[in-house]
Amino acid sequence: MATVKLYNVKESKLVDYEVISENGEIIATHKDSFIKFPGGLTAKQFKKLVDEHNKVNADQVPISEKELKEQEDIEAKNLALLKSLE
Amino acid sequence: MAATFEFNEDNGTQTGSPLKGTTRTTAVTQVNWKNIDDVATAYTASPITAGANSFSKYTFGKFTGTFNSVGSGLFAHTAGTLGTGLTLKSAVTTTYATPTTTAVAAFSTDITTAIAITSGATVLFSTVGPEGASPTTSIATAGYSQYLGTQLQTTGSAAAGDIGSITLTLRYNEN
Repeated sequence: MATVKLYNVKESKLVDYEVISENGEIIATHKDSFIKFPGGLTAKQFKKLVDEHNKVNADQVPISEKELKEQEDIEAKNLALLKSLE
Repeated sequence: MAATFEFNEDNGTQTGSPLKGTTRTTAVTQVNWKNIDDVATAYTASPITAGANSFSKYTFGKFTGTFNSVGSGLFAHTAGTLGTGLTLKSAVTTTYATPTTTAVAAFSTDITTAIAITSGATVLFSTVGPEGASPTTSIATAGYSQYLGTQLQTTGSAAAGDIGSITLTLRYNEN
């Protein structure tokens, strides 16, 4: 199985993605995440896109699962409040 | 006085120099990724088949009114989660390309995961338009953000039906 190291924002690190060709595209998968690349690339073009991906995504700071849950709870309360005002 | 803000979206074949969309829709209130390149069509009428991609979207901010300065722009996915088989790609750019369902190589930022807005992508501004060739960190008269390009990509494992709502934030400072 072909693999490539890609930056995973959720895990905040470079991880191995398995790479397949499907529906005319290159799809790199890792656990429940995937990154698509256009089909028909040369090795040099593919490496350039991988390098670009790893460069532009490395500075993202993911919100924790706890913070996301808190956001969702607040949103649910807001919607409930609005519904009560209708 | 304060700036007046609204989201706009470009659609259609790339045209002009610098390139922009043939159609510009003002006062856009949603971004629904779908299998058609427009604002108006309901997403339910043009769903994305699992394994395919949405048409690429070119949303941007428009600032009117009187203000001293609008700047320090950041763009990110800041709330909500996308399910299995879904990836949201993005690029903040001045380059408009005719929307396509092909995976857009230029959309290299993976914004599938919600992040802190402070670590979002830098957004520049122009008085010319989102396509303005020399965008700056701030503007002092009416103008636009760069394009906030996005594309929802899917695999066959994507669940049928609507995706959950997520929040994409364009943050800017005004004084």
